[in-house]
Amino acid sequence: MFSEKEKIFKIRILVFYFFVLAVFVVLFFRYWNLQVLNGAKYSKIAKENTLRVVTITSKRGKILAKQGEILADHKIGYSILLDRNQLKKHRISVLAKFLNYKDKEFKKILKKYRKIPLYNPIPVKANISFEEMSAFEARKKDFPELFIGINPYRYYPYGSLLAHIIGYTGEPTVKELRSIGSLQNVGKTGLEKQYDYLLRGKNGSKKIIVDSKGRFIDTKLIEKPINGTDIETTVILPLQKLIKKQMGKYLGATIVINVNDGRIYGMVSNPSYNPNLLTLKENPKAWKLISNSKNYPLINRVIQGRYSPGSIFKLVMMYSALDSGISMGKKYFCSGTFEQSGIVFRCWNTAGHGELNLPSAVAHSCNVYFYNLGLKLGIEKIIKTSKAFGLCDLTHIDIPGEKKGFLPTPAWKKKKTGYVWYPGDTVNTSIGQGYLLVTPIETAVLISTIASNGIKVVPHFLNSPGVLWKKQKLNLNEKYLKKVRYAMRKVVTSGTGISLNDLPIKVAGKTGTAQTISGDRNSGKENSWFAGFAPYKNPEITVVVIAEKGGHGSDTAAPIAAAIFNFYAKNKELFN
Amino acid sequence: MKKFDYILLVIFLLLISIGLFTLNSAVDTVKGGETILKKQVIWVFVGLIAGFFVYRTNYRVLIEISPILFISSLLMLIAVLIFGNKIHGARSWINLGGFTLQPSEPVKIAVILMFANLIKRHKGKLLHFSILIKIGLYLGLPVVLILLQPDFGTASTYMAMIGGGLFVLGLPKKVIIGGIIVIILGGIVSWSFLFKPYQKERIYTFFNPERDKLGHGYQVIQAKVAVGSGGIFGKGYKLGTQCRLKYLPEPETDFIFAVFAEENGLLGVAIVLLLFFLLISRIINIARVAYDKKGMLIAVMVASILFYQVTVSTGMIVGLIPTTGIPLPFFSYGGSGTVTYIIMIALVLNVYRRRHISY
Repeated sequence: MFSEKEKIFKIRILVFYFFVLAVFVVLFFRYWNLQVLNGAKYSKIAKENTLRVVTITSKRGKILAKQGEILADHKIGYSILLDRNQLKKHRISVLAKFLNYKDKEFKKILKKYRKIPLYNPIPVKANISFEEMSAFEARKKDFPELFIGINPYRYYPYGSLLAHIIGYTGEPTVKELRSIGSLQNVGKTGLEKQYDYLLRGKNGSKKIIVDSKGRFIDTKLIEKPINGTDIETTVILPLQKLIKKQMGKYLGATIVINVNDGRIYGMVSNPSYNPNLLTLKENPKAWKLISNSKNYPLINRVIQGRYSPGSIFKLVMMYSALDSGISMGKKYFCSGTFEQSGIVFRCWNTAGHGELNLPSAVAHSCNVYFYNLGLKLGIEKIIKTSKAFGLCDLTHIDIPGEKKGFLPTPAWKKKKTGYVWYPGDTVNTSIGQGYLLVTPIETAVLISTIASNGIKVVPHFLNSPGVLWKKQKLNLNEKYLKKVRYAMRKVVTSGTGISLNDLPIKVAGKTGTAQTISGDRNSGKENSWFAGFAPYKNPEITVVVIAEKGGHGSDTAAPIAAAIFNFYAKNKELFN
Repeated sequence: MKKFDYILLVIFLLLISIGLFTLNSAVDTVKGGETILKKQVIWVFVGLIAGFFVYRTNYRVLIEISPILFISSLLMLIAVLIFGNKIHGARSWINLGGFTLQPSEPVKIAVILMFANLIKRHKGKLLHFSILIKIGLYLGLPVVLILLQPDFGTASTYMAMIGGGLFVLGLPKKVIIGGIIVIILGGIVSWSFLFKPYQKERIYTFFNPERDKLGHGYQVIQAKVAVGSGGIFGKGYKLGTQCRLKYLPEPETDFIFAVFAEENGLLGVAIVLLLFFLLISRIINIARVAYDKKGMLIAVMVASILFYQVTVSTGMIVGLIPTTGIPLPFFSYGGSGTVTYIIMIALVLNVYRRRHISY
């Protein structure tokens, strides 16, 4: 065509053209590969890029006392939150000054939440007071990146009074988290734990669409939160207060239950702790302080404290004797001491009780009588009777952590110590000493079984008409039980429990003075027991008191029980 | 015979329209998006007017005055090094009162014309050494000045453009072999001494994007997600989540084709790639039919640079090519670039118009 150009140029242009074509073909197939072959995969990634699921916390149910007082409350706290999307660098020191932080401290807070996505506002000042909140509201305009946020928390208005009953809530452990499936506080002990599934409710969730920086764009509710249900308990608050006051500074446990259905009216374990301190999100100091306390306030002595029953066990011994055909008139002589295989066992009354029959021996809590009786019955019979009562077994009370007492057997002793069971061991067991251990709640169920003519109830706090609590009719002889009750009444009318005799209600019971390992008979180091029921005819309530190192049962535990029976007599309507 | 390549014009107008629509979607979430779009529309018109005058003026005249254009270009490139604004680590923009100019874009025109000027008297199937040295000395200058900004991406477009010209004009075998050696050595040397850490990082991440998921690799991964999630038919105009939700970096410039691919799917991609291919084919055709070597060279260089920018810009977002900030002609926002590409089209139409006339 043109003189100036030769064919070679056209060939080069053609080569260039084909190169361009080839590259475009490669490009097309690359797009085809991404958009068709891998389209689904990238679509999924793109969707995940934009959606975030945020939980809406449910409202935890309240725990109420029998008369409706709120024992555990759902409260709303206020915090100042920071929207980091709006935070500009030069504002950091301004905000720090306003929030009363040093720059360094404030930066530390920001750093702490660095890994939390930006669409989550972060708390920069938690649990502010109403005054602080009003102060903030007044200057809100100057701090567009801050706003007030609400955070629900658990509040126990009566603090340590009901700590062992209610327990407290806290952040879930990994295991708990797996079972509940969403991040919300769970009950850690007590009723909070037992009825967590009712109280907790279910967190809802919303989807929010965010951009690559985590900035919030749009929101969509997926699941409404389901609030937890309130639960009503059997706790009588004035009674609880009375028990607490009566226990004073004695370590120990007191429990008051309904004889016939197992409802728990009051329960105190001393010392206690303030659950409000433990339920707060970050309070490692309080946790450390409480858990390292000398007298183990976190232990619920009512269900976890294992004590020698002392003379309380004589009630089981008496039944065992009757069941073995021994009559009420069976007499033994107490000289104040008793010798067995060269070892001298003493009665608490060193002068001796003289000649006693069975009910009198219970009433005066004569040790020598029961030493004789124990040897006559033999350990196997004693164990059999204890088992028939269900002693040293779980009561299945509706708070977690219950421990069993301990019922020793010759086989156990041989295995554990290598020694055979000596008659002396039987002698010790006969008055509730030695290896035998019971918990206060077991004792309360034992007393209730005696009082209710052989019905074993499950002690419980949940007061819900929909829940039926098990009542077990034990294979016990009602005539013998009646005789035991007669002896218990005699304890009050003429025995060691005489201090309860002038109450406006007829009480039956048994005192106990249990030696402890460090115990020394006359220095008041024994554990002081009282276990009884009232009214004598048609029993309604069982009261069990143990005051550690309270000395004689009649000295410390009996007056506490007396106050409780007195309260019952005067406020019967509260117990319906 | 036809004086005008209507097919080329139609393809060009289609591309520039699709480009504006895409930009309109891309800037939806960008701060000051509306002004960006308005400015781009104005620049398209400025480009069309400038293009009209370039088209009217015989390209041989333009080649004759190219030394003046070339010298002013060099002055602009020096000025930008001294007075330029530093953006993204490079001194590429100069403030001219109302707007900022990126001299490295219009200088492309001057370089094309200057190259044509240098070879206007050259005859033969291959380029002689003497003229090669001359070309190297003259055209190397603006490239070096751009590398000093430093703007490796734009400098590479010059190399592609000049390379295309040299290939068609014909290089002696010795030069090709020597060139390959120089490129390899130069590559090693620049890798060891000249490349900035961020450039090296980009090349590393090209070979393994997972290496740096939140840094440079992040951009490629998110762009790939955008493209891939577009599927066959796309998510719909202005409905691309990757872009809307700001996962795509620089959606209005370097990553604009990812926005397009996400919203229009493979169907749209195929159409645009075909349009670009046809556009380049038409320009190559102009090179074939041009009256003289000068005209041929202009068309080849324009074809080369458009081809290079399209390939790199669309290849980068799908992980075919390391991330380099190269705008997609007619799509990416940028006044200097847009006017330059339109003038390039005007230039090749100019060559086509005068394919039978020797003066």
